[in-house]
Amino acid sequence: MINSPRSVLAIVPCYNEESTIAQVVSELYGLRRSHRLPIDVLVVNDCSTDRSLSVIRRLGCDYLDLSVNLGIGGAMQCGYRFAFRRGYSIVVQVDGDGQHPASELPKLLQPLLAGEADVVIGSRFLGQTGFRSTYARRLGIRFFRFLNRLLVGQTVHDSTSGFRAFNRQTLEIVSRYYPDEYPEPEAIVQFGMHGLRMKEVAVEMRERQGGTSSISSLNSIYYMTKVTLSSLFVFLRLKPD
Amino acid sequence: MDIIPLKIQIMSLLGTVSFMYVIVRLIARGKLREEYSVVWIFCTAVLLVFSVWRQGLQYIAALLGVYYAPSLLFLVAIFAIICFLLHLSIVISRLQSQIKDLAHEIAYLKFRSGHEPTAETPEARPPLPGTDPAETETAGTPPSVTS
Repeated sequence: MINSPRSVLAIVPCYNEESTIAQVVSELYGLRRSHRLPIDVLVVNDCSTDRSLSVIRRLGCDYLDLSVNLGIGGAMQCGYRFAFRRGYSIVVQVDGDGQHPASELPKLLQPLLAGEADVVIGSRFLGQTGFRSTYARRLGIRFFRFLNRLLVGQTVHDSTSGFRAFNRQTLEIVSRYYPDEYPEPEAIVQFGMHGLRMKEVAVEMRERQGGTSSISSLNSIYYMTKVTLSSLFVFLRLKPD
Repeated sequence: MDIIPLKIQIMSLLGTVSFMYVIVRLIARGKLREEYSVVWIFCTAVLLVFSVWRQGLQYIAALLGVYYAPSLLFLVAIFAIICFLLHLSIVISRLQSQIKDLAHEIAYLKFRSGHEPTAETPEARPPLPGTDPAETETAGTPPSVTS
């Protein structure tokens, strides 16, 4: 399907995903065989407290082992810096909890390989199939959609989706700065301010196969406040004046 | 206008001097970096001035049109505390970003060394100098009263 000499790195952030990580990585390798994609897999172990690391060691893929827990943003940036240094031209984030099916990955890569976009976001809301998250979460997502449209003028329907692929131009930007905590909606503002072309593609997502969401109902207010503030600040920081 | 009673003056002098002693000790033993100690030394100096110069607070309060002199003290003290807290937040933010960069670098170096066959050695690291938990000192700072 996709025949390109350019190499792709799938970054799998992993925090206490001992039950699902092996499955995620083997699906990605399966994709490499079935689609002949030049895809490498890098697992970033964010200082897991379970047996994730020993599971990852046995998988035979590349992995980075963080000595301190940095959170999803810090772990992803570690992977992005790795990819940038090693000269990968495309990176894609695939969560370690198994909610991003590897079979959907070619859809994400297609617009990048065709040069149509700099950032491709896998969205749950464009198509109508698969797992669609809770009502409260969707309400929050609607708010971020509004905020993004206001700040950068681009509409991203699923701004909390972590299923994303970047080209090398984006990779350079995120290896310089990437938000630490709850990075997804803020990164959209960041991309918009850098003038990157974002494209959403409809993907099917599964319910997480294990682990717990980083956003519980208890800290959802903190989440909304933090993300709104950091979106505004990243807008101010990158605003051309 | 009342002048601060002698008893309180002696107490505040003692408090200030012992506070200064603790700070100097901390710097001398390398527990407090000089750049962060500047503000503490300055604060102690101000406290010391007002402990010695008994009418000073009233004098300045009258000069500024503050009727109740201790409220001027509270105002200045709270403002100084907020400034210092902000300073600490800035320092912490910088440290956090440096730690993140270091963690990334270490992870990358671990990755690279993992590819060389000789690098895999079980580590029994000796504790770094200066991190011995037996050395930890509790910096008890006596409260100093100036009004």
